[in-house]
Amino acid sequence: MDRADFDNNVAEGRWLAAWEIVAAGTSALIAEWCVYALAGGGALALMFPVLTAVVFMLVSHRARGETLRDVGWRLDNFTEAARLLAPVMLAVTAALVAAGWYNSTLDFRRWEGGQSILGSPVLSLLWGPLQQYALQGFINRRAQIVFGKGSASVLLTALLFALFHLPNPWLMLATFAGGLLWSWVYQRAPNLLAVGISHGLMTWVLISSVPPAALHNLRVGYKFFG
Amino acid sequence: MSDAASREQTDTETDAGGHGLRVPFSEDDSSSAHDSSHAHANSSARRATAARKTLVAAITIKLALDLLFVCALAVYTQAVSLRADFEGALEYADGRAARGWVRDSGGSTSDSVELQLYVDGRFAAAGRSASRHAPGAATDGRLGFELSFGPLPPGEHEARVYAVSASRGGTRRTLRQLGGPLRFVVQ
Repeated sequence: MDRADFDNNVAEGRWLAAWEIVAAGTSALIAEWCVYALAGGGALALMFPVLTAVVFMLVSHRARGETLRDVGWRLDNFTEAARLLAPVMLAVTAALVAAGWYNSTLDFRRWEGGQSILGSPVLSLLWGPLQQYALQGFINRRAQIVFGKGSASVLLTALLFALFHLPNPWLMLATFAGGLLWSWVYQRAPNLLAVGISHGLMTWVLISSVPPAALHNLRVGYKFFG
Repeated sequence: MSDAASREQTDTETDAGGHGLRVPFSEDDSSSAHDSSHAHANSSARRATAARKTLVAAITIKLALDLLFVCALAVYTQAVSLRADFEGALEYADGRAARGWVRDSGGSTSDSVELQLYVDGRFAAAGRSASRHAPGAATDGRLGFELSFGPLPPGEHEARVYAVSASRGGTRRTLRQLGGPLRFVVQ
């Protein structure tokens, strides 16, 4: 393979990675903007974008030869990832809890209607890693193929994460900030459990500290207006 | 990179031009191709080509399915929620009531049609058409209606009447305008 062929292959690989991000992202946008608007709250219609996205990501991982370990389903670097996450998480948690306490809006049972104080963390521990798998294990990795490791791919991943929370302004801001942190950490220690648990816990703290009206009950997409 | 070395690596797979990124288009493929035998290089190139073809196909199929899904959803919504089976017209209106007719040609089993009246863009009244089983009902399916509302101030007004269509077990209700708007003057 000569240099020109190699350059062409790399360029083609970058274009393919960019299109992979688009193809995965359309599922999120369809779920948020089309399914609820056209089919109501039916979970059956929601299955289509979810399933096609999951199948597409698995096919892509296989084509690129990515293993579970590559994607970040591993434990060996959990401590390193946690060490990178902890200072920021502690600082943000302290600020949010203090603000919530000062404004008398602190309620750790608020999520899921306060049914169970254990229910929220458990739910968040499932939901966080799943979202982070799509965001970091797929989008961040493709963004690194397009732009390389560093600020450009971190910024793109965070921007897309915020975009998926349109048009909720404060949630977009929070997800952009969270996206920057998790993408930065993932590029240094790719561990989906660590960033996923962090995602779940920070969501719980955010919901517990900020009044639901300010976050518009975490509604995004067309549902934001409903 | 050996398996042992790979297991020890806790860093991410770096950028596209670096080592370790399991992308069939990276420099890894090129360098390994240079270092290895010609047969191995050919095999590696074939794998990369196959991977590229798989990805192109996957992206194309995924986006095509997304497009088809959105189109199907739109058609389904149009057919179920926004059905165009209502005909009718608003024939008369004054400062206190509006009259007209409606026909449901969609084979609905409902006895009458639910209606909403808007005057000057604001909700004015709701009601139902005459029953299709009422004595003297027209044989062509036309059902008369009369909707009363509060007195309007003098001047020109505009009235629009809508048939209410309930779908998905009544969880979604959409309005379909009957005929055009009717302008009238209250003395």
